[in-house]
Parts: sequence; C-alpha cells; structure tokens
Amino acid sequence: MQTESAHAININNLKFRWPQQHQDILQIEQFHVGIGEHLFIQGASGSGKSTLLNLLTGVLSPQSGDIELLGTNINSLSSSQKDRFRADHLGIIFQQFNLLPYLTAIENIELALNISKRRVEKEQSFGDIKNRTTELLASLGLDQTLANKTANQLSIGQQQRVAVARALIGRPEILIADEPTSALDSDSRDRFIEELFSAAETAETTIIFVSHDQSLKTHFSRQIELADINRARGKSDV
Amino acid sequence: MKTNLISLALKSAYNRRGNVLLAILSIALSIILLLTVDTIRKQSKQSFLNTISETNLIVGARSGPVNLLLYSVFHIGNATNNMSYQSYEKIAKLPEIEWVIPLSLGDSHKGYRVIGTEQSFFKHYRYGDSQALEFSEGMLFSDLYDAVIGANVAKKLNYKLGDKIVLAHGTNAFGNPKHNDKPFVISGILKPTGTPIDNSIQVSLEAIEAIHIDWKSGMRSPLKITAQQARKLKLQPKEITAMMVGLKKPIYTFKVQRMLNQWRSEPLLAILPGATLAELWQTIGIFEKVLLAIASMVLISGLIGMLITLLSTLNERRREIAVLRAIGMHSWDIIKLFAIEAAMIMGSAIVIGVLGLYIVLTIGLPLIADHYGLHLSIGLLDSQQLLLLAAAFGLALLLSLLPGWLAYRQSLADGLTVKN
Repeated sequence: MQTESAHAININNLKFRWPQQHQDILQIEQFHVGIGEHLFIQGASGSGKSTLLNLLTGVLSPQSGDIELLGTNINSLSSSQKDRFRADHLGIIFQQFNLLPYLTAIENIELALNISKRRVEKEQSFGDIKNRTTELLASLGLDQTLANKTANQLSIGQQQRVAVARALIGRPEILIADEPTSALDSDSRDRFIEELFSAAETAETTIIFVSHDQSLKTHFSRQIELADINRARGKSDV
Repeated sequence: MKTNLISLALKSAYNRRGNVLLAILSIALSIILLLTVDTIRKQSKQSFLNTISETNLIVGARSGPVNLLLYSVFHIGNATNNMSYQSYEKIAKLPEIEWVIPLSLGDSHKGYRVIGTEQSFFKHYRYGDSQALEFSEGMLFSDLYDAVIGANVAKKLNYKLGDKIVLAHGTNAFGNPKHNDKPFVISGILKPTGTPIDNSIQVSLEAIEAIHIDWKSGMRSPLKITAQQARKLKLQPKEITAMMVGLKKPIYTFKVQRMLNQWRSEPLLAILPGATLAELWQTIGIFEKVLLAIASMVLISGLIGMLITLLSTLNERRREIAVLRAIGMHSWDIIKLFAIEAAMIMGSAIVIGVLGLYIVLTIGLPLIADHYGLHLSIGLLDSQQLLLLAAAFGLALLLSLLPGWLAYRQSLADGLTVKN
C-alpha cells in the first residue's frame, strides 16, 4: 500500500459519527500532511479535534473513507496491528496525565521502548540508549536528578517534558500532540514548544499539534482551522 | 516484555496498595476459614472412625449393631442384655481368635463410666493409627481394688495416684447407690487418647464381681460381705456386657461373625466396628457437609470481594490504561495486567491463608483438645485441599478477565484522552 510516499498522512473521503448519533461529526474529503511538516490544527472545543486524533491513531475507526499513515491504510489493520503501528511509528502527548504516576521519569520513557522493538533498534543506531535518553531529557531542559523521581513528584511542566521525551524516544515518524501546553502557564508555553521542536528536529518527525490556543500557531510551518477542512455540521461532546 | 508486564502490574498494584492489601486480607481470611473448617471436619471424622482400631469384631447380646457399638465403645446408653461369661470363655478359645477383651459395664463414678475388664484391655486395645494405651503415671491394676483412670477423669476430678474412689451402682448421674464398703485405689492414669477411654475408669472383672457379691437385683442384700472377706471368695463373673475380638487373620472376620451370630447357647450379635462406625457417621455426619458448604460460600464471597476490588479500581485506572493504549500496548496485554494483579492477590492470599491456618491450628488445637477432648494433629495440606486452592486461584484468574475486558472496552470508548 505504498502510495504517495511523500505524505506522512493522507485522508480521503473520511466520514465519522459517534454511535447513536444522527449526524457525522467529521467529513474530510482530502487532507494531506507532508513528511517533516509541523502542522498546527486549531479548533474550538467540540469541533472534533480529539475525534480526529483518535482516528489518526487508529483508536477509532471511521464509517467510511481511508486514513493512510506513512503509506499504510490503518483502517485495514487488525486491532493488534493498529496497536503495533502506534507503538512503532507514533508518539502521542495529551494535555495532561501522560505518565504513569508510580513510575520514574526514566521508567515512563522506557515503557515506550519496552513495547516497541523497532524503536529500540532505531534509537540504538544513534548510540547507547541510556545516553540518548539523558540527552533527550537534557534537550528538554530536564536534568539528571529528575530522571529517577516518580512522575507524581514532578511539576506539570516537567511531566509534559517527560511525556515529550517518551513520545520521541525511538524516533517515531509522527508526533501527535493534543493540547500539550494547556496545563502550562503562558510564559512556559513558548519555551515548551521550542524545546519540543528541537528534540524532534534530529528525527525529522512530522508534528501534528492540536490546540484551541491561537497564540501558538506562529511556531508552525503550516496552520489550519479544523472547521475549514471538516464539512460535517454535527457537534461533538468529546 | 513478559517480565515488564509483571513488574508494571506489581508497581501499579503497589501504587494502590491500600485496596489491594484489603483484598488480599479478605481472601486470606476466607482461605483460613475454609482450610480450618476442612481440616477439623476431616480430622474429627478420622478421629471418630479411629475411636477403635485393630478390633475385628465386637460381640454382645443380640440388639442392634449401632446400639452395641454405642454402649460398648462410646459408653452411650446401656445394654438391654448381657452375654454369659461361659460364651465369652468359649469364644476366646476358638482357633481363629488371637485375643479377646471382656467389657463389663454398668457402674460409674461421678458420672464417669466404669469398665470392668482384664489386663488384655491394656495390651490389645488400639485406637487411632494403631496406637496402644499408655500410662502417664502408675500402672495397670494388680490388686483387686485397684483402678486405672482415663486422662480426662484425672484432670477434671483432680485425681492423683493413690487416691481413693468409691464406685456407684448404675450409670445415672445422680442418686445411684454407692459401693461405699469397697473403695478403690487409683493405680494408674492413662495418657489422653481422644477416645471415650479418656472419660472412663477401668477395674478388673473380679473387682466388678466383688463389689456386687452382696447385691441382689440392684439393691444391697442384708447379708454383708466386707472388702477383705470378698478377697477370699471365688470371684468368677457370670456375665459380661460385651467383648472385643482380635482375629489371627482378617480373612476370618466374616466366618467368625457368621459363627457368632448363629451361636447356639444364646443369641449373640457380632459387628464389624469400622463398618458400624461409618454407618453411624452417615447419620451424625450431616454437620460436616453443612460446615463445608458454609466455608465454600465464605471463599466465594472472598473471591467476589476481589472482583469488586478490581472493578472498583477501574475508574481510578482509566488514565493509566489510556496512557498504555496510547504508547501502543495491546488490549490483550492490558487484560493480562489485570490477570497478573489477580494472580498476585490470590497468590499472596493463599500464602497468608496457609500460614494463618497453621497459626490457627497451633493456637486452637490445644483449646479443642481441652474443651472437646478432640485430639487433632497438624499435618500438610492434603491433595484435595491443594486442589481447592488451585481451583480458587484459577477462578480468580477467570474472574479477573471481566475487569480486564471492561477496561479494554472502556479504553475504546474513551479514546486516548480521558476527560476529568
């Protein structure tokens, strides 16, 4: 299924509605994201942002249409293949509660490596994994003393940075971030995004960043309004 | 990945250790209860069935088998008829017979039964796992007016060697005429056996004859014979209550039983004590099944408690599961996390439960022996109990699939993001 390999994400005639709803919440005819692109998707709450992300990550399946990630139609995969694809190729950051509170920062990062052999191999080609993890944390402004603290001992800002490190370890092709800065104060938001970009830079990771916060969009090479590509008129409560 | 799942499950459980600990304790308690009830049930049955062993036949005047067993072995109720001493002597001389123990019942001391017998009683009577009677102090009777007392009699009445006791005619608790003129001296005290012997007093057949020599139909006759005078008389009993018979080979059992049941000179009844004990247990053993049913229900409620604990953490674990799904953990691994937690809860509960059982038995058995005269031993778990624990473990794993499956379903409905 190797079509249009220049695109990280390819959406064709996507339609999705929640069960027991009479209207589609998402209808996207054509949408592409190029490899290495930094895309900012802006949308008010209830506009279907989270639904789109769940579709992109293969957690939800559309009623019709195709979603291709890295040339693979993820809707044609079995549920365990979807899980594997997500583990190998996607890094995901939520607005908060990204980490298991009872694991240390390092253990949370290693969790992603435990699940994906591909990530381990990929990261190893760049050097020792332990060193790579330390470097990654350092590039995000986290020093070594924090690495062995459990997640619930870290501040929200530190937790979000550990989440970035976990999403980027093993160099996944696509990073999906769902309002990762919403729990941060406005001063640290810009710095967080810069650190995120610099950590993602070496891996040429495609970044899909979803937020309702317009002030962040200047950081991105491409910005869209979800309402501009979504032809559905339904409203989401999610 | 396997080891990581286990360590992840353990760390997650440790993070919720309060609830997990409560689940472990509640199941451990039900396991202790189940195993204790089961152990006591089995051992009391065993102890009951082993009240008498190695005796091939019990012989008495013709009545019912259970009745004969009750009065000869358990000293419950009275014989309606006696058998003649003549028959006893004839039976003892049969070629198939190895040994005989005569039993002459009917007297008592402060509510404890007196058994008139011979030295063969101490030599051949076996209980439990072929255990012989042993003396804790003193020895068997040598003088006419010597008596041996059971462990419980010594303890409850605080008797020592050399104490004098007076036997009473009849077995009612109160108002029996006493054999005041012929007191007995305690010559020996038996070790506890956990059988009715503990609550009995043994004297010789001649002694029984001596104290009744001047009695007629349950009353003392005007013609008085003193203890010393009685020694000079020929003290051969005319009848005994029952006898225990040991055969040279077990294969003779049915042959001799048939022979005795067709005894010509008087109607006799010979029973197999083991079979009759089992028959008796059938009637009185219903409590055993009730106990087991109650204990099983306690264990089931313990397992349901664990299920509730796992289910109640589902909401608390929603975010945890969303994170694991987001990094690509497969749903089956998430179900495994729940199964590992259930295995850990159940495994700890079983270990604590088995340790608890031994603690309960160590503390409880002396109390049971003290209060009920039931002597139980502490042994290893039997195969049936091990199977029970394995079944409980398996059931717990099976039950854990429900919260695991619900967590998976929930993670699909939630998507990757959990709203507060």
